[in-house]
Amino acid sequence: MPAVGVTTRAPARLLTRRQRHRREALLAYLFLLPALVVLGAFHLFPAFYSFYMSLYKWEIIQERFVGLRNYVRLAGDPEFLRSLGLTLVYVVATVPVEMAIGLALALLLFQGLRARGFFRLLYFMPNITSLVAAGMVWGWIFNKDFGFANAALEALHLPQQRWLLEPRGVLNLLGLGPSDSAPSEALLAIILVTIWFFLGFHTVVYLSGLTAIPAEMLEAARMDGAGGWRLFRHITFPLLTPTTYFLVLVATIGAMTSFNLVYIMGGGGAGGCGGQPLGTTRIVGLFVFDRFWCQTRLGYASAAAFFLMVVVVAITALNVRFVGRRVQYVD
Amino acid sequence: MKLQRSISALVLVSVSLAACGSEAPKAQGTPAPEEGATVTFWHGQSGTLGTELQKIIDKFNSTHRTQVKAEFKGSYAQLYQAVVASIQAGSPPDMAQVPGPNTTALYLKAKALQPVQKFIDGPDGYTKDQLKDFYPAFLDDSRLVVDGKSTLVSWPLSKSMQVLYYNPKILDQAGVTVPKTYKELREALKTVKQKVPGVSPLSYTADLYYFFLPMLRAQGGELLTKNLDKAAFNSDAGRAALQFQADLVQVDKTATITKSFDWQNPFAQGKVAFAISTSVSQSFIEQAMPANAKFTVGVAPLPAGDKKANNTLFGNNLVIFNKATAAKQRGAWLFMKWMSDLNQVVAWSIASSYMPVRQSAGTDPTFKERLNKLPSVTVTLAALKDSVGLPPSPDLEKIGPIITDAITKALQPTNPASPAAALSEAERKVNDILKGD
Amino acid sequence: MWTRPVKRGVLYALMVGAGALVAFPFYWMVSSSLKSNAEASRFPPSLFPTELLFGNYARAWEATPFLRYFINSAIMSIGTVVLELATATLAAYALARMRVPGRRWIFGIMLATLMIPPEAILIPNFIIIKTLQWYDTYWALIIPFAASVFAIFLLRQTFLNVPHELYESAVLDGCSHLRYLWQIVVPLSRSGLAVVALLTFIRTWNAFQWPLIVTGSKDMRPIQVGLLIFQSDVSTNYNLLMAGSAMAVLPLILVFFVAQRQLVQGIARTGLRG
Repeated sequence: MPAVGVTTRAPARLLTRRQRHRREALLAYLFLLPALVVLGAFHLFPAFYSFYMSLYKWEIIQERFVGLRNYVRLAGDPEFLRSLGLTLVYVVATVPVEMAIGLALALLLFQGLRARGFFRLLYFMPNITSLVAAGMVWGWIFNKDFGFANAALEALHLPQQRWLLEPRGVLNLLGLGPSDSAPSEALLAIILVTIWFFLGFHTVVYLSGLTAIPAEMLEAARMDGAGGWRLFRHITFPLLTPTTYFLVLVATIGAMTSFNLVYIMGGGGAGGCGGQPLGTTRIVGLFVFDRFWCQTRLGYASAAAFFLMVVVVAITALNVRFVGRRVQYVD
Repeated sequence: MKLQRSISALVLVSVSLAACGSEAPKAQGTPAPEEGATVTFWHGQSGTLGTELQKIIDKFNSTHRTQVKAEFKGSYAQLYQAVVASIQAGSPPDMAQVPGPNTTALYLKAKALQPVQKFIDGPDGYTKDQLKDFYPAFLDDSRLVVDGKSTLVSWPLSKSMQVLYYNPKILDQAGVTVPKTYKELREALKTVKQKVPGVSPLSYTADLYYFFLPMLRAQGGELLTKNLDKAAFNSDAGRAALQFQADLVQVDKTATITKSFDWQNPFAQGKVAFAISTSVSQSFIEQAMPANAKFTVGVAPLPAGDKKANNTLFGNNLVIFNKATAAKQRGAWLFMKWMSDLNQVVAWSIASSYMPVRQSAGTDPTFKERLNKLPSVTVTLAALKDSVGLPPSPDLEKIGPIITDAITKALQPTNPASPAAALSEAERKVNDILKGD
Repeated sequence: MWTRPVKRGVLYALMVGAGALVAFPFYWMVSSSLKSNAEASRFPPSLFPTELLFGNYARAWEATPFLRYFINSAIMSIGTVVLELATATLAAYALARMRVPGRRWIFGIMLATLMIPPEAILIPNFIIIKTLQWYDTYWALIIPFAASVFAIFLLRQTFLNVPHELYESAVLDGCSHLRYLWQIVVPLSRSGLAVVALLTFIRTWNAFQWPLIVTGSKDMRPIQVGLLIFQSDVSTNYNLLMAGSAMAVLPLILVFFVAQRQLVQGIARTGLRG
């Protein structure tokens, strides 16, 4: 690269276009530097380090290089495959529901009713709660002996449930499937809390998406006689497409890599391994945690974590490639 | 290799120290003056126990040049995770609590520990006679094989075991006495269920440690084979122990299974007749009892099985990490030794309801007098003869959850696995883990 | 067809019903925190405490050094917000308004960091912190979070909303990028910056796994870790546990109420452009 220093004294206007561009690029890199240093040091480098760890037999200490054997093992580990399945169930059961409820509430708030600000605030409130506190409160609500959930069932003359202690599948409890069908009642409880936690986020984002739709457009459609469901189906929802893509992407990544809430509610509060009962809530994030901290198989756990990262990257890339052009920040 | 080398180096150091100490013939010699090192100490003692421990540490710091900086790292599991992480980072603390010989074994496998044997044999150590005052069971639980030799790797601090808690008021109402065997326990639970409606006859956490392990051993079984390389629990004894619990839960319907310590609160409210837990739960139960509670917490040794009585030696020990400087290691040992002086042993035992580590505590007048308030200590000391420690396998942390899962499967209220099937599946998984590689 | 008032009534009912469901856990937390331990563990539970024991809060407050935890959380959160705003503003501006060769790559790298499961990088990060000798210091709590890809993307979006003509006239005036950023773009993007600050504050205030690993002494622990410790301290005294949880959540709710307009309106306006 040729030196650029020579011309720095000349007034900006007199520089050639190329020189100007080069100076601007240098300055831009300087602007990007602090952020990139932090991201590199505390995100990227550790990720590579974790890949490095995954190539070793690394229990509590580094033992020996095993190449890709940890990955081969993962492919044949029924518990890992199960955790992948549970993650899929978790994503599918939370993301669309959160989004649907969020959209419904946003449409409700968009009707221009009174106290709209108050309700928007209310719906968003779980989102600012700490997961530690939320996990404690919900654990208390789902307590099988003194919890509110069972009290409510009793008042409705419905049978008592074991909630977070129940490994049986929900379908099975309803008499519809085998007892190990996912999700278990425990996972269902966690799914409900997850939806509670995130629906306000979807509401707020959808609401602002709605606000951004030009009023004239909706007005024109109304003039044409579109109303209610037809207006929503043919005008509002299509116009919200960018918002929907954004939410699908963000929520899917979030759900796939989620940990805290599932961990705390799945019996991990006091530093346990979580995933209880009987591993029916052990989604991939918890599988990694379990192999890492509880079994101290650091190499193996790193392989699982790295695999998860690759899957998430792949999903995002596909998303960006096929639909994401409309999501602003991806360019 | 490295460990060996460092041990021999340390032996050299201690020998030379002894040589400086003039007339001492062997390793025993005049202790050098304290260097005044600051010793970082990670522990997992929460609640009242944490406060009491800090008080004792403060006392040590105010009377010694060595300063112990105690850091509470959360529950034992969190403490363990913090230590594992710090070993990865190559900077463990100087001293830490370990919740069992299996954890000690794991840290030792990671070549992270300095066995305390070196200090015991050194100028700051104990003579053979002095060592005799410590309960042999506690010292045995602190030994591991290092280079083919049985070595004191950790040092006992707080010792406990499982006990049977009971509510004397409910037992009176039902007209039952404290059961001495598991068979009697089963009958007592049935009677309670019949005569005192509205209470749970038995509440406990269905994991490996609180019920299955002691009963397995009391039936003549063991968890792992002697050299710790294979599962041994899938035996007649194991199946009988699991079947017993299954009968309570599924046939008699006299047992309530709770999550971790969730049974404590109902027990404190007088709604539970029996509970199985560690002997240090007493203070937590009493803390949760309403001021106007009309009963006292009853404590009894675990019932005996067909072959013998058995309980598991729980509690925690202290270990020294070999990354610490020589001065810090020695400081850590000086603290351990001071903690083991009769005064501190008695104070800590009274404050915590852990067993005292010294036998002479039993003859100490202040201790005897206050012991009456702590039934759990009397009970546990008497039951110490039946106590066996956890298998010192570095893999126990991986094995525990597998067996706990097997127990949970067999205790499901609907479609339970048979004990034989559950234990066979667990056996296969455990053997896979023990194969290593 | 429904008449207008009936329709409105139904809409209100739906809105209130959803609100009640969402708010219930908060109510349950507060109501349980005011019960006696005996009442808290009664079944079926009472919807409203028979006696309001505000003393539970005092007991919880005394049981653990909450004040210290709050101070630590405040230092950690404010420090992170300030640094993150600084790094994100610069980076976002570069990506929004400057010619950056290899911009796609930079975007790619940033997107990739969003997808790394936190579990995977915990140990390496811990090793870094130990190597830098930051263990049990505020640095360990703040610096790893001093840059956030979300913040960068959000701010970039905001900066793109600043009309480009302003930039052209500024350049004609010989205004440097830094001055233009500081004097024009930042003041015009105040609401976007506020959103980033608030979201970061919330996230940092609620962080618990990382602080648990990198702090050792009570003097350094933030409130969420304190709450976990408190949980093991009070064991199954659910009333005290709920009182502690309520205290841990309260400051954020206050911040949120004060700043909610900015926050809620800004979130998506900057996150996407409808």
